[in-house]
Amino acid sequence: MMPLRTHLRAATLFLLGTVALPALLQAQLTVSGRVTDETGRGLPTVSVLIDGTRIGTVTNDDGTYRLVVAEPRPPLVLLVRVLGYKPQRFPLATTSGQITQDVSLFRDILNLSQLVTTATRVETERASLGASLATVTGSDIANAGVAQVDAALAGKVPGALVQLNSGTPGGGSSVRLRGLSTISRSAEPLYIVDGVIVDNGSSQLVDLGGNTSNRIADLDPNDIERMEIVKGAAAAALYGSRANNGVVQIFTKRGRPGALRVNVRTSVGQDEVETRIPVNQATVNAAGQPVAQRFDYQDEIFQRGLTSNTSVGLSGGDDKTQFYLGGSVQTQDGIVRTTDYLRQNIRLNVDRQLTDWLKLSTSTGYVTSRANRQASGGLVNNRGVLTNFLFNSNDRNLFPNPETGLYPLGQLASNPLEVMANWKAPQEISRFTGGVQLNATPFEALSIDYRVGIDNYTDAQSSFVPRGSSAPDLQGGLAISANLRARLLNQDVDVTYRWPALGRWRFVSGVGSNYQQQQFNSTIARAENLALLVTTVQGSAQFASQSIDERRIIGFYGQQQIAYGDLLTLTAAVRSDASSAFGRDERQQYFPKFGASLDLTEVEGFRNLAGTFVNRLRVRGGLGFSGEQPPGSFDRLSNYLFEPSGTLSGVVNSTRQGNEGLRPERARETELGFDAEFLNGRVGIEYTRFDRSVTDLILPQTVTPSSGFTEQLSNVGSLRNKGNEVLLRSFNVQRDAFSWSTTVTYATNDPIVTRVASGGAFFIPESFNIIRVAADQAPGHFWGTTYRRNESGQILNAAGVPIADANGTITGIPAIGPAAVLGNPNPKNYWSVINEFTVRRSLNLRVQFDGVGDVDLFNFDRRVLETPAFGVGAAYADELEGRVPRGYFAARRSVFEEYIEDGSFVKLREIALTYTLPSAFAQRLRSRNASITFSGRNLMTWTDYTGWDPETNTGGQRTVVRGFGFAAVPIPRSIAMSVNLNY
Amino acid sequence: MTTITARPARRSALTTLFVCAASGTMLAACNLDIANPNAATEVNVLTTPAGVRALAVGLQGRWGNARADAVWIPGLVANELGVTNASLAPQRAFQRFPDAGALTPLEDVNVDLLNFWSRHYQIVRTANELLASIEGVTLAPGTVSGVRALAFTMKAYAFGTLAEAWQQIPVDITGFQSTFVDRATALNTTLDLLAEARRVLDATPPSAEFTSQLLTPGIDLPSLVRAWQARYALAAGRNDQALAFANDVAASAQSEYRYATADQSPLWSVFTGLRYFSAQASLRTSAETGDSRVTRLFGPTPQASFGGSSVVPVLIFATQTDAYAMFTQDELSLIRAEALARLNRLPEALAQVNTVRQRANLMPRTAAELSTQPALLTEIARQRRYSLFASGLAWGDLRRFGRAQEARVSWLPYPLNERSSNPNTPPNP
Repeated sequence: MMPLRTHLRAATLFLLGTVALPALLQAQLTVSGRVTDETGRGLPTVSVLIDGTRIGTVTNDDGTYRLVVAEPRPPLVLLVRVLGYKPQRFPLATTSGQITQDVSLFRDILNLSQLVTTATRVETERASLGASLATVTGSDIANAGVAQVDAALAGKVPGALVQLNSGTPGGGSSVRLRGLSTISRSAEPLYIVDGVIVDNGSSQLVDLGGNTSNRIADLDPNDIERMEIVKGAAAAALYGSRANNGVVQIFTKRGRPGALRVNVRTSVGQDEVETRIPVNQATVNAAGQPVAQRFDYQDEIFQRGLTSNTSVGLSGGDDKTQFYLGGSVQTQDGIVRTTDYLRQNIRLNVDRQLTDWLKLSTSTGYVTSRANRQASGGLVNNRGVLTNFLFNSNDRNLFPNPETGLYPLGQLASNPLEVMANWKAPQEISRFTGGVQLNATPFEALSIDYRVGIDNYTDAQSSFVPRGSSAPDLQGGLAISANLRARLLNQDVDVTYRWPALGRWRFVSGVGSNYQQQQFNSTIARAENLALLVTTVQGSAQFASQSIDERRIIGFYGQQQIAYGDLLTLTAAVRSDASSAFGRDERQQYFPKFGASLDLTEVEGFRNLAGTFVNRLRVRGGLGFSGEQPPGSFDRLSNYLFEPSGTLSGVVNSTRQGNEGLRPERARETELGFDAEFLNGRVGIEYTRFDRSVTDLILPQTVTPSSGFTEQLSNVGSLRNKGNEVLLRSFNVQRDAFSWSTTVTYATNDPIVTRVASGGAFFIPESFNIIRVAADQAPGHFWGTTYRRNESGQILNAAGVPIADANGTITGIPAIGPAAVLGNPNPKNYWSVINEFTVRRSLNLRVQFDGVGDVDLFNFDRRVLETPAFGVGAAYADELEGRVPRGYFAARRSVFEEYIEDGSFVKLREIALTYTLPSAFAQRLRSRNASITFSGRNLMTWTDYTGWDPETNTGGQRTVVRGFGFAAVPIPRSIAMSVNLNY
Repeated sequence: MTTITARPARRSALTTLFVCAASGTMLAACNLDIANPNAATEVNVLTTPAGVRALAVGLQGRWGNARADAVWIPGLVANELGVTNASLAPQRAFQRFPDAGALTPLEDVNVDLLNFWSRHYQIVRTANELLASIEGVTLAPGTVSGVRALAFTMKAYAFGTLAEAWQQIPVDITGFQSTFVDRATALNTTLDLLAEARRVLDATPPSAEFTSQLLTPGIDLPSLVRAWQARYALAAGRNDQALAFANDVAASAQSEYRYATADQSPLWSVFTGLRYFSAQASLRTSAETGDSRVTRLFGPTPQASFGGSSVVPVLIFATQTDAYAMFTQDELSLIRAEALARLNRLPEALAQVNTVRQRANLMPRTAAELSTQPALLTEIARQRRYSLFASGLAWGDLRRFGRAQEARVSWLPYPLNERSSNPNTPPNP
């Protein structure tokens, strides 16, 4: 919309600099007024500016503003814009004197007018994007009442599946944007905080059975202003070889000119376990002897945990300098005794206008956290707490001997009560994340951004098992101290030029570069047979090892946007990436993208046809390519490994051959969708259909053994995700006294592996040979033994006779049938419904239900619970008390089909009641406004799954080990009360 | 694929440089060829003297590690050994049980079959890498000759061992689709390689550096080359040569591979640590009274067994560092005896047999007792079963003594992984 002459003048100004300032002095213009919403309420913090310039201001708490234009140059157009409302433009008639301009803004139900930058690197209205990009506001995150940013995303983004893998304090969650795009790599999206690429690893330096925290948990949700979630390749292509899983960009709060604003938020709450597993209460044991007492050790293991969070945010500044300073302390006691979490964050963001055309912005965050964890789960380490609730027959007294204080040995791996009492597994994080950005606008049309970002952290994990522990195989004790030092650096240049408009045609060009360097240096020290009375790594057997992973990526992109009025926007871009992890023969990779957005309501004929029912209808489509890095930085190389011969030391080639032809995994995604607003903008629908094919998946491939190698990592696999995403938002009632809105998100996806290496199917390591990858099957499906059945599906015994009689009473012992695909842990659909009610603007109730459908889980817990050697589960009493034949459970535990359960669930995820105190009362507290919130989270679960929690996963954040229920700590039911004060 | 690539990725270099310059990064950061700090790579190993030295040691380590497969697989196939329990699924497929019901099929997916095959080709690969790279590095002439001879010897051994188990094998493995040659050609290759090793050693005697720092203690390389020449000449039916080679080895010479704490014996692992395998009980029960080898080799108590097989414990390989004999004077005497017998020089053959019998504390046989060639050969075969117990040679012996039908299979099937990636793989026997 910028006329050509503005450009020419800007260019002239730039060229002549200050030498030839126009001598013409014009009178100044003052514009004032009030900005309100549809109901007449004043809207604060609305930006009011002269379009195409940086002259502007923001509204006060009551919505009023006053804008002084020192040197008005026509044409003057007033632009009024705030998140959540449709922007409005008003041409100003005069160029001097005083004007009053009151503005009433309409709600932007789908936030299509929001300015976003993640998909294009250039501020672009969401409505212009060909591919869908979701946004979440900071208040949505902060109000969710969880300590982890990613967990708070649950249900708020259509097509994002947020899985809470563990209820251990300190987190452990996975975010899957449009399903699974890799098998060998992490499937988590790329996280960027204020332009700094941050790590979201889930390092397991000390094996705690599978559950790990992921590093995005280090962010404080209270610091977040907004998030942009780029789901697919079509939008994320500019992130090149790291974009297959999508991109999440987080913007933290920044200061605004004006008086100092202080926000204090404090909450206290309580966590507890939602479901308990019924235990065996039989009065006899397997030998037919009476049992003195049966214990339910869940009483000893689970506790009510207190949580608290206090955060303070200060912001302010003048026209030149603005700052935001935030600090918070988060504490959380786990629902498993002796586990807790403490996190302290501090953040300082400063913006400084250095000169007319140069702006400096910094963004720095420091976090330190300490989590006391305990092992649970048991994919490798089976000595954890819940694990040994399962692995100790519940007629065993596990309490310490009252005289000696010694705990009995665990039946198999450990005594959970002793583990909680004596074992330690702390994790300490110390992390600095900082970015500096210089933004130069030599003239209005040209913008140059230079950015450096650093993410630097130390993750110290340790483990201590005392001498004489309850683990039969760890009588000498064990101490581990492990450190991971991570250092990530990114350096970007973005140049954008807005060409002079040609009639209604507008052109924006962008070029940029991106340099990334990351190094992960981990050292592990371990001692067994500990020295007496020490808790550090000192023992008669000591081991230490170190490994370093380092890679560099150099990227470059070019982008062109073409728009015709508001009717049509076309975007084309290409990114090239060179990575040190790619083979030499495949160093340079290219990722193009195309997007188109067409606003049909701008078409005269359509508007007549749709009438007043449809207010806006936009169709959009995108095609894009993106990549994923090889798993290890040095996978391309043929390595030589230590090989001693007698007393001499030598090396030989690793039997895994290097691959200098290693390419990134490559996704090709198409998406097509529409955004529609109906009924005067009170109902909005977003719909997207996507189809993502990933080829060149990096998997191990068999190499001809007569070559002297046995395998090689190669680009041999492919998989496909196809699905739909819907968002429906409706302002059901919008009155001053009462308003009610509903937001529904729904997504479907059905990932399938279309090709693996010539060797065929393979099992994922450390999955008990149950989780498998094979062509034409879901990635990570469950595979194992079935029941032997007859044609009518009846379960048979070894003699081929049905094991149940006509009444359904089990009279026989089941026989094992052939191995087969047993289930799919990738949910085929997931949805969320949020209802929000507001009464008299002071009472707000928000209720969110989340659901996951058509998913299978492997309930390994139940298998152990009914294994005769332990028999802790209530079901095993059936055999002890003669309701099923002897040996029934011993046979059934070999039939894995039995333990695949329907994992669909509906959770009452959030319920929050907020009361905004009357302003008179708030003023007595000397605050501008004050509110109290009572909230509950994960209050209820409806599911057929019989384990602790259908949402958790013993595999933690592992990519294809999903839906594995084996002693994972369930997600707690939380309630909290918080007070929010603004000064 | 055996060549080392040190060339720069030229196609992308220019773009990379441009992008680096554009992003204002320091030039050092533009280097995308980051060395792996966690492991040596081709460049470190194949182009430096230290790397070649380390590879020469690694070659012997690889040979030492492949011993278990080369002993127990032919041992099971030739009824020398037996598995100790029925749950050893991949292993028991190699054994012939008296009860036909206990037989499990020996399939090409068998993991131990693959290991036996691939571990020996890994020896060949390392030998080839050594031979290719030693020309490019500066080492003392005596070290070069020692390393080259060692590489020829180990490679020869790998082919010789494989040729006794598979009907056809590849002997030129420069690519991924090697062609196969028949057994006679494979054994000829083995003998050619050993002749080359001998020629190299004769031309330039190994340096002190080689024998003291690169050769695993216990190995006498010149004698080993001659002894293995004799072994494989006999296998190839070249009796004159076998006799001559055996006579070239000094009467006091011996060679053994001495495992160490850092390099534990895989034979200890499968025989003693894991107790997977034992000896056929008949070896003990049908032994001559007073045979000193029997009490050294076998425990007295028959173990619980299945499928009609009866086994007794193996007493050798008792510790993690017990040495493995690469050749013995017994083997040389029996090679001489067999070659002489087959050349119809029966009295000389008998003398060699009696040398072995005397070493085992047995009474010498008279010419009257072993008057015919078949009788002598039977006695030689019998002595080999005790003197060369668990040496991996029993299967070849069955073939040479006309008892091939007693083996579990006539030849092993080719591993599926070879077939799936190498179209030249012959059909399974």
